[in-house]
Amino acid sequence: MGTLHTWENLELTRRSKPLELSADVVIIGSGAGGAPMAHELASEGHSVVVLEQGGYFPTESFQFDCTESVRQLYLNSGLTFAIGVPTVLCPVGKTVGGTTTINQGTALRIPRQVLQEWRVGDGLKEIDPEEMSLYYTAIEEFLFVKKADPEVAGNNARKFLEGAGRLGLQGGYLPRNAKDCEGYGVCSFGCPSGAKQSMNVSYIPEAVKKGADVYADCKVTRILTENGRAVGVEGFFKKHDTRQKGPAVRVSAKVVVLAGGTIGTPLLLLRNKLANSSGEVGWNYRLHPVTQVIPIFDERIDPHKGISQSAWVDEFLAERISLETTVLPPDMLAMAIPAACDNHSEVMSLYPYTGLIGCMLRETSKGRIVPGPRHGFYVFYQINWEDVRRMKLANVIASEIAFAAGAKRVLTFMAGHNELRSLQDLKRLKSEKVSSRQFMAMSGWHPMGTCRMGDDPETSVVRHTGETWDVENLFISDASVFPTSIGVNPQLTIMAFSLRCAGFVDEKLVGETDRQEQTGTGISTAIA
Amino acid sequence: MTTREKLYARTIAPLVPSTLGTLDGFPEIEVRRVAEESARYVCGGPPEVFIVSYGGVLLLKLLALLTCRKPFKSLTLDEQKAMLQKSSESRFMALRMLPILVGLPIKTMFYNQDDVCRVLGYDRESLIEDARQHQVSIDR
Repeated sequence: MGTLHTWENLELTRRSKPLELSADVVIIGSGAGGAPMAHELASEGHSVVVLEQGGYFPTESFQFDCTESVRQLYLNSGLTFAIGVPTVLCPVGKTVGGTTTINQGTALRIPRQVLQEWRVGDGLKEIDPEEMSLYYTAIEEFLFVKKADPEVAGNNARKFLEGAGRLGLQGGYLPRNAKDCEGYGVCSFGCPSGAKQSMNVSYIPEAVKKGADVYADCKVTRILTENGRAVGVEGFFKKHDTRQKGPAVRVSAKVVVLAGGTIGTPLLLLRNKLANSSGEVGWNYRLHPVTQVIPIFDERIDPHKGISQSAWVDEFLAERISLETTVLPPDMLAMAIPAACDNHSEVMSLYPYTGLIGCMLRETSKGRIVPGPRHGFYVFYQINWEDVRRMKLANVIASEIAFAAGAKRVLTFMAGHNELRSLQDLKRLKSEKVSSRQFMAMSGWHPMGTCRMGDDPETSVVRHTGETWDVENLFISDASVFPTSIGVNPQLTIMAFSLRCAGFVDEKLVGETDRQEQTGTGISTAIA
Repeated sequence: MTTREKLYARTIAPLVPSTLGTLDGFPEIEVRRVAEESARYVCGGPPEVFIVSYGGVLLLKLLALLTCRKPFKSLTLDEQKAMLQKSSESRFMALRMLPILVGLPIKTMFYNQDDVCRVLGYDRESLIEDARQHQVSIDR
């Protein structure tokens, strides 16, 4: 049995002496990339240390105060933006469980066509769809993945599917990693009943039961290498709420796994000047750009009563468009509506009558992550004309669905077309050219691709196994390895690749043990 | 509150009523509380967010001087609203986004209040109670 260490139970306020740890494998990050691997490797009998820079929050601490949750559970208090036109909000989690703690719980597999693209276009022929299917099945069983229950899906989803059905569009309820969900509508702010099987209530506690040690509030700053091999990490503790700095920590390990996400992982590599002979670290950033339309109905929808994200239309996946319902509590909707003064307050007063449809793209645009001063960073992302055209089309389709569902008005986030009152307005939107400057609010919840996987060390950062080309025993297990965006919510795919990567790490660890037995050296002597 | 938070709260406070617009049936706006909470939120983010947001507030005030020839504070509530509305409908992206960007924390903090949420049918207390009774624990 391992332990989930927090600032409090380590009594870090009173401690100044550095913490010296040793393990077979150290995993940086406890989200979808780190947690399944920690569980898998601990189950295989390896000693595992997981370091998470965010704090630990038990289920009972999630109290429907979404603004407070955003402050506590999100990186940069939820105020991470990609610089471009428009500026894109990029929220990611910073807590035990990573972004899975604050995502919508949608659990979709990678579209087969995308995997084929990776196999053929990116040279990743070793990634076998049948093998991936086995990982997906194991995860789905572990996390109780099943389609959202229509009884608790909510009126927003019901109306959306009615509208889509009237237009003959293919769609349905979304598969989710939740058990006995009552539909409290705050999945993105910490599930208050523990129904959503995010990593903090699933793989992490199970990994701890199998012997893994998890350290919250621990920020890694250095990757230790020796003779081209990763041999450990260094960092320090920092309390997530007061930002009080704690003692240093050093972990010696045979294998280092970076699972800090698409933002955290490349920043760590760039700051350490590691694994970047290709020059690709930090580039190729994707985020699945999202805009929203707000249908307003005559009848009460009470959008907060139901699952946050429970239905979708997948008819247009081949056109790289996905439409998913979303609901937000009042404060978060107030933040999302790009309107001023009376226009804003009028929409807010109609909150019980509103729905929300998210228009998400599998984009071709790419961005970049760059380290900034004092552990900060900058994200640059400019949506290209092709994706702008697609985004307009997605808004048109979503608005058509809303009108078909009986909406009296539809609000879009596009300047010049802010409010559609009739099909005539929709026709005008369809016929007009739209520029990126017209999008008044855009977000990207699925960062991917800053340490891409490939078969060529000159154009990629990691091999198909997840191990970096440049540094032996340094693996990456998060969405940063995706060569392209995938077009659907990525958490399940990140987990599937995490399990796949765990197999290669296991092989490495067995090999390392054999090597050390032959040479008579251990990891501790290597570091000393 | 830190010095930076106090500075931000003091600067943003005059914008609170006009940014929130006409609020029929809602509780009265607690300007100071909303401004202070907004400051806490913005100052909790990266420094660039504070710089952009604080700069935005100053720009809006400058805009009032340039377009209405009066300091923002001296405008009536209707004049303030008209100015913000006009800016948000501008053909120029920067002007269009200015009141929206500045208003973001104000709107969030106002609609985060329990009594405001209740008006919209969102009763946080009863939701907490309901969730407490439906705790899911899984023994794998």
